[in-house]
Amino acid sequence: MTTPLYIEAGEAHISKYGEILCGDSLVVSSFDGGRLMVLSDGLGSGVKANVLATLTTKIATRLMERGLPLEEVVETLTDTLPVCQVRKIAYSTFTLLKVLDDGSAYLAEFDNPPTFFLKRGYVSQVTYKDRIIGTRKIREARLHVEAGDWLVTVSDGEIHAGIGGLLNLGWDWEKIAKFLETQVHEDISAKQVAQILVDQANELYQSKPGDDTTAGVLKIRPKRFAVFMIGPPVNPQNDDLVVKHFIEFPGRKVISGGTTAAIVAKRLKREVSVDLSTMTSKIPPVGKLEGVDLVTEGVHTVNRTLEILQDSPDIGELRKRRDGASQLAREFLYADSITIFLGQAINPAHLNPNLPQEMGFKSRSVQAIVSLLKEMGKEVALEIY
Amino acid sequence: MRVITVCVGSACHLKGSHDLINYFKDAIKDAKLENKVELKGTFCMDMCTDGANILIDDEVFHLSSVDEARAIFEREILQKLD
Repeated sequence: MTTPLYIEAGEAHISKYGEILCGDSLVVSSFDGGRLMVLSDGLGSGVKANVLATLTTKIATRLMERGLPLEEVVETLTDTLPVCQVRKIAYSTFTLLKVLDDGSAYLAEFDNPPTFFLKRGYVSQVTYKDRIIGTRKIREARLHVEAGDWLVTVSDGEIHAGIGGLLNLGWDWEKIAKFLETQVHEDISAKQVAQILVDQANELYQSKPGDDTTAGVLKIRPKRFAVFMIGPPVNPQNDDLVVKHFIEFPGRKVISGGTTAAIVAKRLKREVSVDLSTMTSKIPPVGKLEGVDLVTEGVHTVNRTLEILQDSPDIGELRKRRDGASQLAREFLYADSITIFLGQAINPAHLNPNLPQEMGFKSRSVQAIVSLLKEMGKEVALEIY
Repeated sequence: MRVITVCVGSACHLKGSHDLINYFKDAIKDAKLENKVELKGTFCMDMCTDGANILIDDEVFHLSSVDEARAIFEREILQKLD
């Protein structure tokens, strides 16, 4: 079985020098089985451009999500966009990019720079077909993507960066293509690549961009799965079943809770050891169990992990920290598809009236983590035992 | 080799196992016993209500303060050196 694909999206913008609003609009949306990215560059700059571009991306996204054919999308756009008082036309550019989990992709462009399609690290040629819809000439292409491929779309502010200044003719499509080839690799995120592109353009503009500049990036990579076992099942008779599911699950395996770790270790006929060097005054140390990627203590670590996730953390920053909660947060953030086996057995010791009330709140924290992860766009399955 | 094992499970953590570990770490170092006494952590020992729980070799002790830990270290480690 081949690993399913995941389409990771990232974007970055800078506004024309002196403007607060960016006249480019980029919308990324997820639908069952794929992702859609729409980029539009509005006519002019500032508020008017922003309105035109935003209308374009919102309308196109809605219609594409409903599976309407391109003709209808383009016609709706032409009919709906307000006419510019200065130029007497209703106009904005667009790039529509639809990528499905099975690797099939559809691309339609109108007056935007051609999308960069990187395969095995090199920009590869996209074969377009021209198509006239109404008065407009649209470029259309169908692609097949696989893990390791990138699709990068930019507004013309990117292509023109440095024009008449540092570079006579601007940054230029071919030069950006070469630049991209030096930047993309397995461990860089879509967001990082988008940021590098606009930062580089900003530098070429000497921090005074002559146009709104936007980069939208789709990184095609294998989907990352992770399974978390948190807490022992209420009914110990279910232990074997849950542990079996946990062990056989594809992807990274994480256990939270000392008793839970002991249950898994017993069935694996292995020992859990504790790495004292990861201990902090607030978070107990992490454990090691062969065959499991991470073992942490339960309630304190989970509560702290929730706090970390609420703080919209940077995964790169978390990598520098070794405590259990940072490591647990990292596992949640890294995965695209998360399965949580939440055991609700109550540790009698935790009901001790001398202990703080928060000891009983593990399930609640896990539920809160689940909501947060869903908001981040991750697939989360919660199974309660 | 003697082994001191401190429980770092949720309940024992709340009852101060972090301080106990730091105490034992220093105590072993101060007595220059790094080659004779090993300090380890373990997850839940199933005696949560009695914590913080530690093992010295195979014997269980329930400690509620660093002072108690100091007394145990004196009695069980320092006075039993060969």
